[in-house]
Amino acid sequence: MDNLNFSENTIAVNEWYQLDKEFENDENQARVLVVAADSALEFLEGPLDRLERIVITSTDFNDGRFFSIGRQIRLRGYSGRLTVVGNVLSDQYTALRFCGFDDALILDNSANSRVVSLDKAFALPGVEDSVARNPEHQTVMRNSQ
Amino acid sequence: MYNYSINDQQLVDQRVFQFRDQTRRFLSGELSDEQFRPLRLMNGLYIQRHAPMLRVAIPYGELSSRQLRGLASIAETYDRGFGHFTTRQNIQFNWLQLEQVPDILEELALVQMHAIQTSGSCIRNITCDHLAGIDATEVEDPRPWCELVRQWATMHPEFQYLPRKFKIAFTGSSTDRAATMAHDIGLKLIKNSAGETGFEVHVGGGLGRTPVVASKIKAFLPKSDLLAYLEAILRVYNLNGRRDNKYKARIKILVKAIGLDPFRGQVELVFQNLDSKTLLNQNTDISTVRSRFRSVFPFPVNLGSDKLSAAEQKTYSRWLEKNTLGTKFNNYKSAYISLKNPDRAPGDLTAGEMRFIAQLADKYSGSLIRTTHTQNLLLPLVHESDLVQLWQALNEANLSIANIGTVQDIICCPGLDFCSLANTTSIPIAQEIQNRFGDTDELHALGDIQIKISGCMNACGHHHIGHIGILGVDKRGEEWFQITLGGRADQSLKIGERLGPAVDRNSIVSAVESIVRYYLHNRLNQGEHFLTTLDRIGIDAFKAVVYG
Repeated sequence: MDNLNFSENTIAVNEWYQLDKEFENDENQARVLVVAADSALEFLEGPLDRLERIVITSTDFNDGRFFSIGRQIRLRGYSGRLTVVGNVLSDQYTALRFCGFDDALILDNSANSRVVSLDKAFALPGVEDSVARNPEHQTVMRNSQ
Repeated sequence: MYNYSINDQQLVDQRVFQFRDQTRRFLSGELSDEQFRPLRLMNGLYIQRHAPMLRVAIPYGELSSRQLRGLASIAETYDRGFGHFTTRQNIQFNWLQLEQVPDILEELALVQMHAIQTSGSCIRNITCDHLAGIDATEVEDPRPWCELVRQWATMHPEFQYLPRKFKIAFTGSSTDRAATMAHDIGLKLIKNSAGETGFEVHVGGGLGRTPVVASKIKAFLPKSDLLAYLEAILRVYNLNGRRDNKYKARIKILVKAIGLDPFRGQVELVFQNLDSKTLLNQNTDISTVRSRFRSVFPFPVNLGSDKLSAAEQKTYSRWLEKNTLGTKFNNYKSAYISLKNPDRAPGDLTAGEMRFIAQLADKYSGSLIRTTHTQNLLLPLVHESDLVQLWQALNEANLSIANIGTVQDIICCPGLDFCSLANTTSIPIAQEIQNRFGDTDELHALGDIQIKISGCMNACGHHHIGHIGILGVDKRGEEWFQITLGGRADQSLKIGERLGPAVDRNSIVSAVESIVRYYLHNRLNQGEHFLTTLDRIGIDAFKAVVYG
């Protein structure tokens, strides 16, 4: 994907809780919800369908809660974009994809921040990173999408 | 024995490819220590005291002779010629080079083996009753269910970065030989009042610093709901388990903290929203899995007619009594190969012995071998007419020691000899205790006593649930040992009671010997089990024996 511009028009999870029902009909309301990976999951009770994007922020790739949060959001029926931002490893891309994420904004120390589209499905979580360097290596879908 | 499908093989091959790349990135500095750590751990690779240690999965403890030869080759080529069988039915190699691990994984993949999820904060190897499929009393063979869960848990996208490790064990029998109640999830196949088969589900068991007996979360789970229910438990744990303190991160702490009933409520809430269509990583069904299990029958019977001398007859009879047991198949017995000879570290086996046992398995047990929770091996089905020949072969190779279930059959962690977490040695303690009871008549007379030794409070040697448990502790740089009595690992799983203050290195073996001899002199008759005597006369009597 070309552009992951959600710096404006975002809403923090604490504001989300305070929104009333009118939000559902307010076309000017923010359309991107930003949720930390260690947030309580009450936000799932809100009108998720009104959101264009939900962004989960990860401060630690080894804290795997964002995988389950993604799953819960999708199991709720949310069909908008789902993004993870922050500290994730390339080895986690496919697992993120399977858990319902569309893209990842990687912020790493090397100032090599980048947006990664997760819409290619690979055989194994992480294999795509190897495959990108070794395109001749054939992978097989293990999990049907 | 399960045979890989093309998909299974591709998955394992790709995992090798992936790990080779991860290792290369680490060695070239692209991945930091911190980044590589969970990646290597979820592929079974520890950094140990002397060298990297690789734990190889033996799913539910079932091995073919070909696989055992594969392990022998790895032991010889990359290690120091031996491997170590663990309490979770796996094998560890202790002297490897990190650079060579991808090659080792490639060799393993050639024999349908891997090291996936044998360590790290993910779902570990699925373990099982080692008599599954041959025990006449079991409700149903749990191995296909183990395999189904193994496939589901392998590389599960959602559950690779859990708060802490997660262990699942199965039994299909009312006699629990897999310590299922000491697991994060223990699954027992049962029949309900309507005669249907399903699972009794236990959650939150574990040993370590905080030993907890698992609690029953579901009295009867229909078999078709197994994966959905597991997913629900795992999700509640993944979202709510503590991540701020690794000693409080296991599911047992979460269940205790919020209470069993509220925990069950959360699981049910997630479970009700799952159906077979929404499950992740379910790529097969139980009938497909069952169809990939190779039947062990028929295999050739050798009809030996060897005669034994009178002296041999006595030793053979003892082996027959201690190391073999009947199966549900007429004329077929299971034969244990004890790895608890005082000459070896408990659970160790050399490459030569692996090949020898592989050969015996080819000849006598349909090329199948099993590993047990107690760190021994089992030839699952041997025709009765082959038993003499088998015993003779084992006897010549010094593998016929008849001590299964006895005071010599000690479960023991690697301890300070190998492990960087250990406070004390444990292997030498085991060997010294074994030597104190070296007389076979006495050993035989003592009956079943389980001694379990851990070299630190992480409890890999399961000391909490030994009839006699020994825990190594460090006191000002010296090795001391705490003794517990009355633990048990079976269906009535119980944490042992501490006998008293720790004893020093010079006293521990004598203390254990005194306890055992006191039991011997005070039991009502030869049929009175150690635990029965302990219950009858009380732990204080044993305190007096050890502390005066």
